[in-house]
Amino acid sequence: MGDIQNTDNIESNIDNNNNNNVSLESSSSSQNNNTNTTTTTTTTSVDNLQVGVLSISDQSTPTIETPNQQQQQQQDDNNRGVSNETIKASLDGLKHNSLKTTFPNSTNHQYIDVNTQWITNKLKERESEFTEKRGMSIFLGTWNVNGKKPSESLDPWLKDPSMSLQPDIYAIGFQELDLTAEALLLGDTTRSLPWEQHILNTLQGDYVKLLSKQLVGILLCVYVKKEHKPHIANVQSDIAAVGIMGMMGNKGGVAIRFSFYNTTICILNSHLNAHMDNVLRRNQDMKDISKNIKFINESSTDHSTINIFDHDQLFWIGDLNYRIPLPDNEVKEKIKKKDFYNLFLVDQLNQQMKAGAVFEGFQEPPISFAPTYKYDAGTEEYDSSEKKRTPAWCDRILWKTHKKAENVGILSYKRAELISSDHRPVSASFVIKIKVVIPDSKNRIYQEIVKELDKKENDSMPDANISTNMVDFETIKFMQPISKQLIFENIGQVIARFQFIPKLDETILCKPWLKISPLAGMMIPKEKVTIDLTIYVDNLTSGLFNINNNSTNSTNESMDDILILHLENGKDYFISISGKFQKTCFGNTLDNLVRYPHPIRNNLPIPPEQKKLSIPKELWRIIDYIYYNGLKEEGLFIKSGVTKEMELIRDCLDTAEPFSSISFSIHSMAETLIRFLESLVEPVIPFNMYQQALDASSSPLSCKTLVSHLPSVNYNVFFYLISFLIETLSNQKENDLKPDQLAIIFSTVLLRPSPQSQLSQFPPDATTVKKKADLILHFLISKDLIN
Amino acid sequence: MSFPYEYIFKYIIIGDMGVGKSCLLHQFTENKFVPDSPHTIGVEFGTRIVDVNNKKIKLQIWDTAGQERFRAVTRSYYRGAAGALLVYDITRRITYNHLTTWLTDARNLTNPNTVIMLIGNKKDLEGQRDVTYEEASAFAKQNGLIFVESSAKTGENVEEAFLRTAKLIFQSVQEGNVDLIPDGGITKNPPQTITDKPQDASKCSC
Repeated sequence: MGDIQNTDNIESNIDNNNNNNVSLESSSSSQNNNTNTTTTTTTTSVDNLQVGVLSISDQSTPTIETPNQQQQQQQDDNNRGVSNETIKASLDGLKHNSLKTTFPNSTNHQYIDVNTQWITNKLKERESEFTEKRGMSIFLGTWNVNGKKPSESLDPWLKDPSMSLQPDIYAIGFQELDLTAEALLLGDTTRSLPWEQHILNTLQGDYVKLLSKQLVGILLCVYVKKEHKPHIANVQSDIAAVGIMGMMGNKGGVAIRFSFYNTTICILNSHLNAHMDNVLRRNQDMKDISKNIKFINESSTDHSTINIFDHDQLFWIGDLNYRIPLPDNEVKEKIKKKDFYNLFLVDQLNQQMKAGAVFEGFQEPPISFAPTYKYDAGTEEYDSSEKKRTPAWCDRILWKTHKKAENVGILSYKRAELISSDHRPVSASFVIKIKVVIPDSKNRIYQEIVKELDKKENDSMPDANISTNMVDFETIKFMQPISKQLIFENIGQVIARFQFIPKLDETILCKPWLKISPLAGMMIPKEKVTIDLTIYVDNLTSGLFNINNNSTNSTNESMDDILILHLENGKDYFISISGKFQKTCFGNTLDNLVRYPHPIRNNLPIPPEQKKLSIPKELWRIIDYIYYNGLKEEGLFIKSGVTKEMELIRDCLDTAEPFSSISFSIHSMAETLIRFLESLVEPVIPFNMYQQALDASSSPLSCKTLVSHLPSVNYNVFFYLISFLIETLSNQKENDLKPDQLAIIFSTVLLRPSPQSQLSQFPPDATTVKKKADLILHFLISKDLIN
Repeated sequence: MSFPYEYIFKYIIIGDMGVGKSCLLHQFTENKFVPDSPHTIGVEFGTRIVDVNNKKIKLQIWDTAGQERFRAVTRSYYRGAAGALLVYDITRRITYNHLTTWLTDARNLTNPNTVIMLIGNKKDLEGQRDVTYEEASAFAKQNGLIFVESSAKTGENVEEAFLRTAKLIFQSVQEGNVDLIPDGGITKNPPQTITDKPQDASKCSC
């Protein structure tokens, strides 16, 4: 379905183009009217004339005839008095018109559908794959009628009894159809109508007119067999006037081009300058006409133009006016003897073509007929007037096949014995290998081309490879960072920019316990980037795993996240992060810890009737140990512990292993106490009492009141701890501790602002530190405060 | 500057793991079938310019991961889709049974005009068929979905699935049912901000 549809569109595009063509032509004529009106600086009457002339160029718009006729009336009165200036102006108008027709939109900026253009070009390149060649015949005729009206049958010229089949195309050109001033100046086309009618009568009902185009006396009409009409597209015409003032010179060329099936054909009918001596002038006429005739390039969307040579087959017919530079009697003598060969050797056109001076690359069928000019009209005698013009092959038919196309075959080249004019009509028939589209093949190739384009477009998107989508951190311990690496490699053809992005309705990229580095980056093709993922559970995040009502019976809490690594203009990669957090009493809450009768890593469920402990057993174990083993230790709480030993102590606390199973210094245990208190998700003096506590610090009694308002577990812990510290200070002689030292150390961990509060953003100032220490100090020095 | 297309339509392809979502995408965009292709872990996308009623339309197709564990994340990609291709595997009934949940997601997370097309993939494996055409067809009818059975392997009906969806969306656009908004999955080209890539636009709004 899709296949057919696509091709339908291509064809309908072509149809559209045809329509566009028509509309372009008509719009350009109106545009020209405007242009001429605004740009012409001559008199108003000339201005009007130009409008009239314009209409000559387009017989398909008969509506313009009304103003023409009006002006014709006007002009008829004094057409004898037409000045050279007026003629010049009107011819300028003609040129201008022709130019404008070919560049309809050159001033407007338009966007160019380069995709379609690319597809069209590719399709053209592979044309031979979806076309088959079929021989078709074309008949070309040219006749300078010397202003005569149709009077005799055209059968001898247009009908060839020797041809078994009727031509598929007829292209018939006239010159000097109309020698009146009206034709030149006013675009009077009335003379062409009888001729066209005469031709149609001759061809009978099998043909339809494709287009006719007239420039003053030069008329070109193209007819095709009815059956071919649907296979013709992009029919366009253009004109180019040449010639010098001083004569009623209606010299120039008219061209019609069209696509016949998939073959492009251009036919040009011209009347070049006359007289024996004007060889160079004729050469120049040919070049000027070639250059000035332009068509809109229909296979392109950029409104570019093509010329007559951009066609598979180009036929140039007409009164080219090249002469035979020999004495009149000698020519006539040779004609009598039918010695056309020797005449042809000196024929100007033949000579000029051989010299490469004109009609470069054109060919002409061999001439086997007598010169077609100049006769006494109505007789079979060559010119008998006093001018005694030497007979010549003025009327010729040439062709040029594009280098990419197959050459034509010559069927005939001859003259017909019609006598009403001073010229004899000439005709030639050719067989052309026409490229005919095989729709199925075209569909297939179109699909291939579009698929190729899509594939390239998809390939040009960035692509990268990630070493793994699953990062398992296994067991994660409190305060022990673990890192894993991902390798991200650019396997595409373009620069890849990446960044981690948040999930729907989230603002954060990942869970707070995960650190990603780098969060964004760029890789040139083949480059690799290592992405570090680090899990680190600290005081701030441990609460997420330690305090979970549903999982009281599991030792480890699973940690999961999905990261989205986004490639700019490319795909997204999901990265699963997993790990098991080993539960610990650290980073916990007092309330939670007192619920556990057994160690926190023990899988046992909490018995339903379990009473809450008065203080966390872990705290009791630490203090109990120091009480029996370290009260007299010098520098207790001042000297640092050993990280490794503290991790072992933590494991013992979480598993109920006896401390005797490990070895450590007493300072490690002392620091463990401080770290434990520090890690509490909420400190012993809760966040909501922080400010009150600072305010109360100056007065021992206020402090006592404050502490009495602590939640019961917190109060118990506070009471127990202070009692222990007082006991510690009673060993001052040995351990050398001062109350204010302990006050400062413990106040820092017992009294903390909430991490959400702004206070926690900055290190506390000296006053705050003193206030905090004072609060604890009151209890250490006045033992009765705690009772 | 050129604009080879007039509209951009965003599509999503959803459905269980292994039903052939990525293969449908590759068949459509590249005419390529890769057997045993790896599971999509994330979201891939491909583009193709198609003709609908003589208009050139760029389809921007988002192919999502089918795994259950990514379900929550892939949901974020539904937003703004003009078309959703809901895919099941005709040889695995379980993938058909899950359609209701996929459909619920699609309906909840896309706008009411989003065209949802049901695709029974792996039509080439007729011998292993586990869901009849009639049954799926009835399901589609009940839920107001267009339905087609396709084979990403042979390419059968793959074009049809994508193009029929495009036609219906285009029809919707022409009837004025759909607003042309950058995040609406249907973008008129050239949009006001040409550099603003649609996929990024949808990301920013997450």
